[in-house]
Amino acid sequence: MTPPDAPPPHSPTHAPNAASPERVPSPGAGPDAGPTRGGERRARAVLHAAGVDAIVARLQATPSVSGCFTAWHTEPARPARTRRVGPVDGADGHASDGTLGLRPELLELLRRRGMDELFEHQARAIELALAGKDVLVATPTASGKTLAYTLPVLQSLLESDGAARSLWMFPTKALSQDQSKALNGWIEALGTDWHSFTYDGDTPPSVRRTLRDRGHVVLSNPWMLHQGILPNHGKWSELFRDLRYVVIDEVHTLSGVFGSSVANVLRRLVRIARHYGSDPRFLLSSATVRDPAAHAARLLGREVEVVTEDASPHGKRVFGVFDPPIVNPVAGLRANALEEVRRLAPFVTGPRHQTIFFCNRRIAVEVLTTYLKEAAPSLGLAPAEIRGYRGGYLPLLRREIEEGLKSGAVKVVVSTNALELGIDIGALDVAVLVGYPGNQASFWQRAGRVGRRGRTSLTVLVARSDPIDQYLAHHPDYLFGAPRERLEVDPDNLVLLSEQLKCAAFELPFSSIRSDADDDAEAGQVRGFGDSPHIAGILDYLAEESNLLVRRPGEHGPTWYWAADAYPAQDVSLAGNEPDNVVVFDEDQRAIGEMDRESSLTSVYEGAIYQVESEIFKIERFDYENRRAYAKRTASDYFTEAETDTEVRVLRLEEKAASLDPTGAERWAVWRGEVHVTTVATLYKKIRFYTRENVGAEDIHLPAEELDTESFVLTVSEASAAELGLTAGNRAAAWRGIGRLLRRVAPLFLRCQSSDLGISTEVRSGHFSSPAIHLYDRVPGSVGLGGALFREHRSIVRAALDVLERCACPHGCPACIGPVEEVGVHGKETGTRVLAWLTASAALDEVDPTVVEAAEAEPR
Amino acid sequence: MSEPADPSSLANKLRRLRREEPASNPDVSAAELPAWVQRSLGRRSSASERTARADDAARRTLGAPRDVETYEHERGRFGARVTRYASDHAHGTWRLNEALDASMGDIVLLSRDDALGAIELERAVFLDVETTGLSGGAGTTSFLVALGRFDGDAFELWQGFLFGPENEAAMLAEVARRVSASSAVVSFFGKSFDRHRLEDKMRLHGVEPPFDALPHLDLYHPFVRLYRDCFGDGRLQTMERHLCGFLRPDDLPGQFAPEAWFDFLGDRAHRLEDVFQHNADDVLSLAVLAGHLGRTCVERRASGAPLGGPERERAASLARLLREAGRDVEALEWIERALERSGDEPAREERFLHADILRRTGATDRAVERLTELAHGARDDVALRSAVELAKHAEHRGRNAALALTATRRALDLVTIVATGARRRRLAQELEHRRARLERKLAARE
Repeated sequence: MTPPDAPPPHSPTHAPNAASPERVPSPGAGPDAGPTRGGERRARAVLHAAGVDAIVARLQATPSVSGCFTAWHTEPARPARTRRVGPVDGADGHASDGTLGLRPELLELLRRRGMDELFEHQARAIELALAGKDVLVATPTASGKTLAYTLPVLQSLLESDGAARSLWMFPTKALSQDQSKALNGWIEALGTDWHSFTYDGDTPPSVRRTLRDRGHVVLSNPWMLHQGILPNHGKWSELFRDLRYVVIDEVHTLSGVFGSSVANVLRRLVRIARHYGSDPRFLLSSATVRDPAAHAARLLGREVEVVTEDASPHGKRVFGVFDPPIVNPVAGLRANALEEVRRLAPFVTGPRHQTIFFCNRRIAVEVLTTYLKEAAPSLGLAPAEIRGYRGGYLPLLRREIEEGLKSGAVKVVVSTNALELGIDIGALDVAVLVGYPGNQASFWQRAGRVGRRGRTSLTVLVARSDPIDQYLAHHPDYLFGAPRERLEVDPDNLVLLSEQLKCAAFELPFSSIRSDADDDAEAGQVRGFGDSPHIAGILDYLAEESNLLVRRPGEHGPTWYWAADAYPAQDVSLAGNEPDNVVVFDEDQRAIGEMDRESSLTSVYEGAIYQVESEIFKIERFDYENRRAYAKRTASDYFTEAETDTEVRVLRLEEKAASLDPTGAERWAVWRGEVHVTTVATLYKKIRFYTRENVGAEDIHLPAEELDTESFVLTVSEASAAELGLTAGNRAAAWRGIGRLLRRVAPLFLRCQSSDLGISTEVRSGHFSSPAIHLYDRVPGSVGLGGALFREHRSIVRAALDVLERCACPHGCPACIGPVEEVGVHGKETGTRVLAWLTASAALDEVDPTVVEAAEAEPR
Repeated sequence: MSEPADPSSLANKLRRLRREEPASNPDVSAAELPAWVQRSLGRRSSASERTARADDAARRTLGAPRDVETYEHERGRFGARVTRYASDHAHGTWRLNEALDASMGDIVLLSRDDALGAIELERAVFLDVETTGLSGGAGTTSFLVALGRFDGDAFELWQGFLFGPENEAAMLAEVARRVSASSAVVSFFGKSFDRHRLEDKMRLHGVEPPFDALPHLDLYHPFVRLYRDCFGDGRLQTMERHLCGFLRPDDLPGQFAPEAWFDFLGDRAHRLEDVFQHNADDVLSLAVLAGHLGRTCVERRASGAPLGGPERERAASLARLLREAGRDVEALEWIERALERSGDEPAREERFLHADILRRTGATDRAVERLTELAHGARDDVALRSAVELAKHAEHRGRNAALALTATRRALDLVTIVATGARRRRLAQELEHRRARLERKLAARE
């Protein structure tokens, strides 16, 4: 995608890369001309005008591939909707005629960059920002989002004569460096002596002080804010004293544990800003997501104005979904997606256009790049015109590839998600996604990398043998309709909140305000850190049990001060807050892997075969107490699979919805509630590679894992279960298969990975006296996945049924309910019957809370 | 969110969620808990060891430290202990007022800071702080700030003390006032540590930090330059022991200071008396070390007694510093003094420095002679540097291509043995160029 700051290339009113000063229109060009680069591009375009349309035609006309496309989707070209901008008249951000007003210096600069008008959504966002609102712009890639926050920041700098400062945050280091260049272009063009700089791990300590004191705009990332800036706010007092705007780019990446942690980091930021007397506004940008207003409100803890109507223009866009052919009908196995991409390469690559391949794994990038380079002559390309791109490449090499893409020297790039976020590489022509990237925002970010104005672009999704990919292969409507995933953020998760309160208490003391109305006269209320009623309790805990704080009497109630020789942010991670991750070491004491404690039970028990990037290790010793596993390189013709026994004990049920038959008897129900999960690893099986032959089993001796969290539960009444044949024997395997399939398709509707959900299935649950499937949030204390499943269960069940019905295998395969060995010969049939029955039954009714109460009171 | 918090059940829930053991006696459980729990709980692993020291209990006191007066400040109250020492108070084998005999010229040379030339130690503050940790950041509190100064015939030690974290702003305001009233700051490693701890918290509390306006003599750097190689480390206590004869048999090491203050805050028996003593000793050492430093070039105390300390290293270090300052004639005197003091076997580094200074003072024949000896005397880094210098000198100054080529070849032999990494690549490349150039020159002549 082009950077969010840049309006789409070649639009009538915009230079191609508004934020890059080096590419202003050439003096000799006509009013409608692009930059010099565009001139060359246009010449090529004239020669090969039929480019992408011809590719689409060939794909549709060649029998060996056309049959594999399960869907084609075309979005027609769309013109821009723009708004005129005038010089500001007065302080309210409006021109004299009531339209959006900007400072004359900015207007002049926009004009010089060929922007006499702004896109409607940009104008709206800027207007709101200048009116002092918190704003979120949630529009697709390349719609010019950066401009929507750059202009208000520059305007406030101009109006305050350089006094107003801002802090910009990006999800990656590369992105902040890219944006820093663009911003400096603006600042230089304005001829001011303001300083903007990137503050990250690469900033040399020798210049940090100057930057802290003089930086008008500081570009950083959530990790630096969390561990570097906030804990040292005394050093940053100049910034915080005059902090006018906080800009956060790509907020759709802030979900789950990471998003919930960042939401707390923002609470800390606001608390510190207030300490220094400033009250910054937030300017956010996001990809198109479901309910962006709710997401932003949960992140910031306050209501935010949201702009979602994309008014930027685009050319015709064609999308194709490619489902590889079935190569083993019995196993339901489809041809490998990467192999199929090789088959597609001659169609989608060539010397006259630029193609980007997205792979989900680094190793796949290397494999595909190597293959394409070897095949280069037959593709009409030189090997040097084909490049790989991924994290781990050195910055200089990355810059070179980015420049090659912009100049047109690189014709084909194979990338991981490293090119998914806003690095500026210009617009390309064809995108091939090797497998669904796991969520809709990523899909659109990747697809957004292609599309030049006035020309057709093509995006091909190549499906893998995976329930989600298979679902999408047959439901293109999911991809092209409104976003469906819920972004879950729960800043008040007790574990995350308590860890973040540690960091916050280090930064500034917490005071409570005791009012007469408070029942709990002991502690009172602590304000300024969200609405959780537990803050005072957690602070007391940190004082009395953890010895990290001291509680001192204050004017209106107690105050808690940090009193420990420690730097808590160092030990608190933003992504998952398990302090007790298990680290795997090889013979040379090199760390080769890390996982949370619960996963360690099933992956690094003594005797386990542990694989890292296709290297095989055997776990020799697992020091459970100290969270270390020791592995040794080995040759093995088998892998190992652990069996676990998971017991979910229901602590409290909070929500229920049930489907009733005409007599009022319950047929099935869904629940949400607090649970306590105990997982014991029992034994592991050695399974031969390829043949999956079981060649032995051993016991695992590890203590049980305990987890308190929130769960979604699906239960089927005893009578219905009997009718459906869900009682014993093989049917238990089918029930388990249904659970696993629900877990695998759930990420279609909530922003998570399957591995974020724990599962337990019982054909006869002790608690519910009926078959039950528990899908629980694997984050201790939960970040809301249980609730999201509860709200989305109908869509998830429906999608699971679709996957089963569409799958060509006879009895079950890895791409649907699971292989026959796992689910039994009747697995698929039973699964289909149960899911169809669940889908067909009448809409669920919210159940009277008293029923929930009763269920809660049930003896276990 | 709607129900009121029940503290006891919340604590239980937190314990479960955070996977922490139920609360118990921390000293007993600390040893048994896995490391991550201790980290998470913030209990240091050696806590039980520390408290187990035999003499520990006897040294503890309860309540406020002795002789601490309470100051009422508009931003809160804090304590201070003021101790007046006679200005000729003996600290080790030195007297405090010997600081006033320091030559500021010496101090400028050794500190490489011209701003120090104008300071008067009579009007300086000698600064040392005790903090709740070394990590820095907003959560690190300077709970004891010592400012020493000469006051007529006395040396006044003011130790500001925090009764609690809530009064930090008040004490910092007073510290800032006292520091501003002085003309310079003297510390040991304070430019890198103490100053920043105070400055960060002053900015946090809206107190204008006074340090930018004042020259700051940080004794750490000059002492490390002078004596780095002889003492093994550059700590204050190492310097005061070797240079001023001050010993601290009962010292409570600085890393125990945080615990002492936390014990005081928790109304437990604490070792703050020892922390006050440690802090006071540090400040008195600043005064005598400043005196010592200011007598480096004459090598005698004002009384005429010899300065003491490692003479040979001092002479060599002075030579190096003077050479860097472009004072080659003095540098030559000092390096020759260092060579005399080394007896029969002067160190090769010092001999190299000697040759280098000889060359710069125009004694080229002697320089070439020394460099030739060094280049061939061993296969070490000194030999390599000597051969390189010799080659450069012979080619450009001496116009002796043959000698230059011999030296270049010697250097090329040595470079693969003694140099590593990027330096090796760079040197090897330079030397290859030089060899090629010299060979062309010599060939052209024939």
